[in-house]
Amino acid sequence: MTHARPRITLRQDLAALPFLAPFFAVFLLFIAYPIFYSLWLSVHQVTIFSDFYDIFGTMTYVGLENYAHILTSVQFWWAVGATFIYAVLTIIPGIALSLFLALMLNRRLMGLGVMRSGFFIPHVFDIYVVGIVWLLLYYPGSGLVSRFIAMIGASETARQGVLDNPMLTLPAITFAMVLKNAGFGMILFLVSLNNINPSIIEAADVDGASRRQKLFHVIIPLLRPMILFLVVTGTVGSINAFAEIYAMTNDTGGVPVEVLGETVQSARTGGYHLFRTFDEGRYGEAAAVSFVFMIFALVISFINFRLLRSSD
Amino acid sequence: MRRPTPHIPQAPAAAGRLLSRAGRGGIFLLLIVLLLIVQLPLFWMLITSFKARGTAFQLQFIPQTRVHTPADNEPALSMPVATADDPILHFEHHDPAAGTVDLALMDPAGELARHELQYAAGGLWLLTLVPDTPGTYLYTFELDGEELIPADVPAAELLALGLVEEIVAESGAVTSNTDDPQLLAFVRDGKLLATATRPEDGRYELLLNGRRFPLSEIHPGIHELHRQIESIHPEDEPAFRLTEIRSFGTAAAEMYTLDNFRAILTSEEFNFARYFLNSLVVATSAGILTVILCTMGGYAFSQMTFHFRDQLFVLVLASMLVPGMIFMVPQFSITIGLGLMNTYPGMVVPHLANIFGLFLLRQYIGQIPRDLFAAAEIDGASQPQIFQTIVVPICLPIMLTLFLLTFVTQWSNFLWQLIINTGDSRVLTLPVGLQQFRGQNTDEWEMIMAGASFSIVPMAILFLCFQGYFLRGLAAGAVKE
Repeated sequence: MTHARPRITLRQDLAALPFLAPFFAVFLLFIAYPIFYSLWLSVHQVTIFSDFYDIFGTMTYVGLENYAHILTSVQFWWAVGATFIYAVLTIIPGIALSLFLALMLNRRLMGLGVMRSGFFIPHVFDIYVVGIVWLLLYYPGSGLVSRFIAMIGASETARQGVLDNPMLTLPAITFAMVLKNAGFGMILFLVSLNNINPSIIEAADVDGASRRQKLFHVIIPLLRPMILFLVVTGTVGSINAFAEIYAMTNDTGGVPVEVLGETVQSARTGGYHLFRTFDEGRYGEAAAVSFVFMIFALVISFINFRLLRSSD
Repeated sequence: MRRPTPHIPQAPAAAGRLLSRAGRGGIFLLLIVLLLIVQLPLFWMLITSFKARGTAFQLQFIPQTRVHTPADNEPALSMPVATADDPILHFEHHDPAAGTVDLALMDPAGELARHELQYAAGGLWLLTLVPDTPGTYLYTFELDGEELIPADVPAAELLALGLVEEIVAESGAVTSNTDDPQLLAFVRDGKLLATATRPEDGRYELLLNGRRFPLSEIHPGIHELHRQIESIHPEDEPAFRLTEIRSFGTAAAEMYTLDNFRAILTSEEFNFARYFLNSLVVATSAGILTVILCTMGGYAFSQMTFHFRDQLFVLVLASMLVPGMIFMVPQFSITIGLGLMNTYPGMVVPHLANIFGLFLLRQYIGQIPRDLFAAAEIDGASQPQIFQTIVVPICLPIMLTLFLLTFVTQWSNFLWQLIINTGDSRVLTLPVGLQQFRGQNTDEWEMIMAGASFSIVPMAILFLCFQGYFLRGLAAGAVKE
């Protein structure tokens, strides 16, 4: 009798209900239901017959037409590609910079606290607003960064402005974002470094490991879970990236480029593409786009979790 | 037995120490450079927001007490030098009784049609005449139709009449050495003459071939220089600039101003004081409500037993894997369906189910010693009482952490606030307000940066005050992975 789990009574359920109700009211209405609603939207379309005052109520069922349209559209695949480029350009330099900062600041140093705060603080700033500040810094010809670029010899690039150069739009945006978010990764790495058992490092010292060997064969492997965490959040972050692109391309998505006979914008990543589709009133297609991206995100998260497990 | 310590091995050790110290210094410098780069946008935003209108792209930050005309990066003006073939003619006529003369009424006739009028105020007229061909001329001054000087009086006699203080040359000249009609300078017969008309307070100097010649104020706003110098030849191609010497305060006031902030705070159409308040309301209410919902939910999941507790929790956690943008279209539809477009609840309510917050609170409450709850239950406390007297006081630090994280997130939630508000919304928040403002004032960078400061500076202050609470939340989030 003592080993049996105590029966959960209805009274206990009723006692818990008031505590759970507020959270779950919002959760069900704005998180759980939308996932299914989104699925419903993705097989419907706004048509000219839709009632302007009740667009969502009067959409017509179109089956998988939205998905078929997306998967054959150059713009969509370009958005996937741009998101991939964005992810690579933020995740790899971002992790490298945060790791470097964490390793450098994980010791006794003059002004350590000031430096840690200083590197972290841009992370709490509004992305859109920071994007606008970078727009000023990148301003063609006379912006500070443009002047610097002209000073090191690329005067043509400086005159045109990096954001108006199709090859440089995404690198310029991601450069700003890496600087903004490096402090976040740095703090996470500092937490992990503090959690490393000092005896492991001592053992390596006893074995006569050089500083470089210790870094690459002891410390970095121990930081692997954190690196994977940053890769996963970085991937989801790349798919969600929006405000910085909206800000730095003046809501254009970047410079028009000709790809396979269609005009696409140089920085039109997934998040921005979704917003554009939504903003143009193609709600069904927007829902379908977000579903396809959700599948991408889930697959990538799954692969990452598998990698995480195999590393343990 | 002690051996004397050999001295030689110490040298490499000292060198090694020196090297490692140098390496440490190098890393320190590198970190400082990196920190400056990371802080650059913040610094640039702040300094631009205080700059005078239209100067956002000027790379000058230290107020200049000496201002050159033309500026240093422009070529200096060539200094005309009078010669026998190329004389210079210049009149100064001072008649305090005449008062201010309308420039348009100055009407030189005939061959003197090309002229430069430097100044006509307070009875002082400065006039440079530029005859087309060299020769001897006679001049007439007419004031309101009344001839001051008979037309046939030779120029030299003008001096005797006291109407013209000085006649520098009697025949042909070119004096238009500057685009600025209120700046004139030339050299004639080893004499340097300059007149600058500058209504602003300040002292002036003429910078000629590296030498400084101060001007003296001969009349309010009129600065003049008459000075003997060793003869300068036209072939020397003498060049000059006018230097304005101002007090540091004047210079600083010209470069930095609070006008940008004043403009965006008092603007009818784009009022950043209102945007700021809206952001404050949205972020604060989102923060408080999120904390309440998550603490209650976290308590239930951590300490209470009910059907499907663990399954429900896993389900909630699983929805964290869904990228946020999936929710945009359906949440938009639901929110406008509830009639919450352009309202505070429309911006706040959809984000209240913070799963990370629920997780954070559940973890934290789980660490509270069970004895505390058991003791309370023995005392006959009800669940709401336990929640109020035990859970909330113990959880205050983590609640503050969650509040701050939510506050910062909602303060910066651009996408949702952009789509759920129309342009005429009364509840626009800072980022959306800035976006609207930019739409109308694309090139007003100084004001745009002042508006940006309203969003950035409060977050910086908030972070610096509650650093520990922010970082605790991050560490908790990282550990869970």
